[in-house]
Amino acid sequence: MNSDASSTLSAARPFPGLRPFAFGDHEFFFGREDQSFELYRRLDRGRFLAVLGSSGSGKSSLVRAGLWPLLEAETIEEGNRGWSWVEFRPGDTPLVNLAAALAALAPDSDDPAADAGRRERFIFELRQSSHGIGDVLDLLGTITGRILILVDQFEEIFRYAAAAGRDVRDRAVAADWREEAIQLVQHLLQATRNAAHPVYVLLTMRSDFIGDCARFHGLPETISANQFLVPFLTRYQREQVIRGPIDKAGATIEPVLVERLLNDSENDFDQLPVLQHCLQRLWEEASRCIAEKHPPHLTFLHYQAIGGFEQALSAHADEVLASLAEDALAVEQTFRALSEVDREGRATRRALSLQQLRAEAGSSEPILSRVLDRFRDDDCSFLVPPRSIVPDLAATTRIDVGHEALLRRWDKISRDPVTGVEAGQDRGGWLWQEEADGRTYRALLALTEGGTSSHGATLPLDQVESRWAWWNERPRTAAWGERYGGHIDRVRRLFDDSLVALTTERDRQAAADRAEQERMQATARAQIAEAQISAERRLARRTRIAAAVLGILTVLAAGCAVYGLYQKRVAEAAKEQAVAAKEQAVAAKEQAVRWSETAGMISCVQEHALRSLGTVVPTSITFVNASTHTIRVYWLDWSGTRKAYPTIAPGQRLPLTTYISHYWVLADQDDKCFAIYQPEPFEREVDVDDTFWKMTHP
Amino acid sequence: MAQLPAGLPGGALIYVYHRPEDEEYATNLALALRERHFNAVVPVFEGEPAEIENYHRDTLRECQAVVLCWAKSPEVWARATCREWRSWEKLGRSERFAVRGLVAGPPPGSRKWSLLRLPPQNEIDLILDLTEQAKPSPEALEPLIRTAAPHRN
Repeated sequence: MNSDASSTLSAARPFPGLRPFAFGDHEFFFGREDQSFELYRRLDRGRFLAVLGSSGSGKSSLVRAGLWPLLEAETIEEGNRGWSWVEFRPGDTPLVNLAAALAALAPDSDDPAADAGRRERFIFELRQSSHGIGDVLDLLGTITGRILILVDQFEEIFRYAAAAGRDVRDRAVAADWREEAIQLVQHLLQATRNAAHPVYVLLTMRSDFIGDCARFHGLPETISANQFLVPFLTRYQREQVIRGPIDKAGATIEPVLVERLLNDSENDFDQLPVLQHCLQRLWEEASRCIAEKHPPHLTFLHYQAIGGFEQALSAHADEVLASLAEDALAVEQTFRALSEVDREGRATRRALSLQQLRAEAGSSEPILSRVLDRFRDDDCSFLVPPRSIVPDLAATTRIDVGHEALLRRWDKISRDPVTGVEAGQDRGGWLWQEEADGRTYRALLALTEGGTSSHGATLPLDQVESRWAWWNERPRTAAWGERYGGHIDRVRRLFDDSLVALTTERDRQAAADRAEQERMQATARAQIAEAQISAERRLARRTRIAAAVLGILTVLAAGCAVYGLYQKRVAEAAKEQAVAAKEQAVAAKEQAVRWSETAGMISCVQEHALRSLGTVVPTSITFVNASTHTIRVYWLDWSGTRKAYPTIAPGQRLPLTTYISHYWVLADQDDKCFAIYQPEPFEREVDVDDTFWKMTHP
Repeated sequence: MAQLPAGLPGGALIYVYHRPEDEEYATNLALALRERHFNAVVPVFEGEPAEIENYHRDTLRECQAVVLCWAKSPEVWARATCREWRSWEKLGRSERFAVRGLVAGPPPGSRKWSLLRLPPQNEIDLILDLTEQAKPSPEALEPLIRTAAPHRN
């Protein structure tokens, strides 16, 4: 029925931080008395009231901790003629949520099935006629006094309508949703004219959505005539916001710090939430410095320690993030899912059920629970519901950012992309990265349109690797894909097809490179053989000349014995040259044979340009070290970085299961590459013996 | 709703503000003021909310004095209404109220007793405790009349 009275605020913790005040926090709600009474008076004179204000103006807090206590006081005084109030947010199922809120007016029941049945009946009634709320109240029967329905964050009906309309596929969904939103508005307007039931309606809505009201018949006129625009607090009221809870908790604050807080928050757009967060941090900082059970004294030094008004929020969020270093990706995924940029380029919250959040973020349950629990702890309230009020989250629990000020202030979320630099250097905060990811996904999805068969489109080959790296940098779940148009299976197939195309192209290129290598080797062999023939011809000519000279010298034999001996040595030298030429030819032949055995081998000079690619064709390769040297083995990963594998000692072998588009580097003990292998579609054994070693280590 | 006679020409305008549940008592109060030649008016409760709101604001702006008639209504309503009268500038007035009175009708109660003895001083100028009188008499309103009388036209 009436709002949950539970509170996390006390003399030990008098500031709520970023989250809005709850009804139970009203004893620590200061500085807004005038506004609370104004709301009360407006409701006293009319049955419809729209509380409008900029984000951060404290609309929800004003209603829950300002107005509710006044209605509660009146109810206590008036008994059965007093107030019952319920609240809900439209979300993406406004009528269902309204029905659930109205069901809360029923007496407590121990029968979940009966409760569920009642809700279904209410939904049916709401969908049947524009007098649905009156009909539901007739069914409830026992309600006495006035009923106030609070529609918090009414602007959600505009946001969801816009989001649903982005994708052509969702036009039908958008139409259904719009129909439901129209029904909700008509129910609310009609309820305030119902003579049989004193139903009051109170909306809270961001004032920048006021123009969107024109989409609904009758709503602009009603809001125009019955609105309360939440004003900025005066300096005096802000001083009450600062001093009130501190005085109530029996603590103290330096006057100079009060002045500083008042000055720093003077013209800030996020004045109230950031001030509340600052005060909460100041309180914690000051409490750390004093003995337990003693009220703290807040000083300017504490203010400096938390980073001042400008930095306190971002610094605190960074601190919480650092405490979850191992879950950093899950933190990022969570805040990406819970925020979005609206049509006007404004950062807005995007509340999700736990179930939906888990599906979108792709984080495991224990990790996500750890992240959510930490960020909704009472010391930060960056996420709601607060852990102290809802210790255990159910699958249907709505998870939301504590305040949009966090989205605007936390550098990790809202940092602007750096323009004018090459892509990948600074894509900005998570909010902008997520928006860019959404655009990328939609572009990929558009590529698949009309190509739903197995012979679909592929990415341009020069983009496959970068897009594939982008795709793999975080979980891409089907629920995440739904956010940007769905059909994730088509996008996955696009990647599969593109990777196969790229692998095929790479294989073709490698084969061409090998053919070129073989051609060059054949040329080298021909040159060697030609050199050999030339050497043999030179030897024969010299031999013939030597024989002629010998004949002449025979005539002069006796007298030229010494000269004869000299000629003999010349002949022997020529013979040695001939033998050497023959050995060279044999070596060239062996090398040629060796090269023919090294199919799949790639020159080390290409290593810098190589990187393994994803493929679905497994194979195996075994390196056998028949040499007397130790061989180091490396796999070139997706970025071309070496990843070490076991070293092969002399006489040992290393069998590996691999894929045809992977690259393996063999290196000596100085890590100097002497061969690179790309496995082939069949099992292969590569022998490295001393001859090969010498050949690759000239 | 009891019908009030038409406003008296030349009479100072006094806005007798009350809630629907105090209508009878407030009407008697207004009639008693009219007997003393004040132009007493009461709020409108039926019609479009915007019209009701406009009438209320216009009357607050134009009247010379306001009287909060508090009989069966809750205390929080009385406090909220008093708060509205704290600043005459914010109401769009060109001058202060001649008097901001609180007339407490029956039934008596401890909270009412407390507020009547400790009224918010910058919101209420004059308190009349008539919680024991079923119907306000012109005589009982004498202190109010004395304060507002110099402002009769």
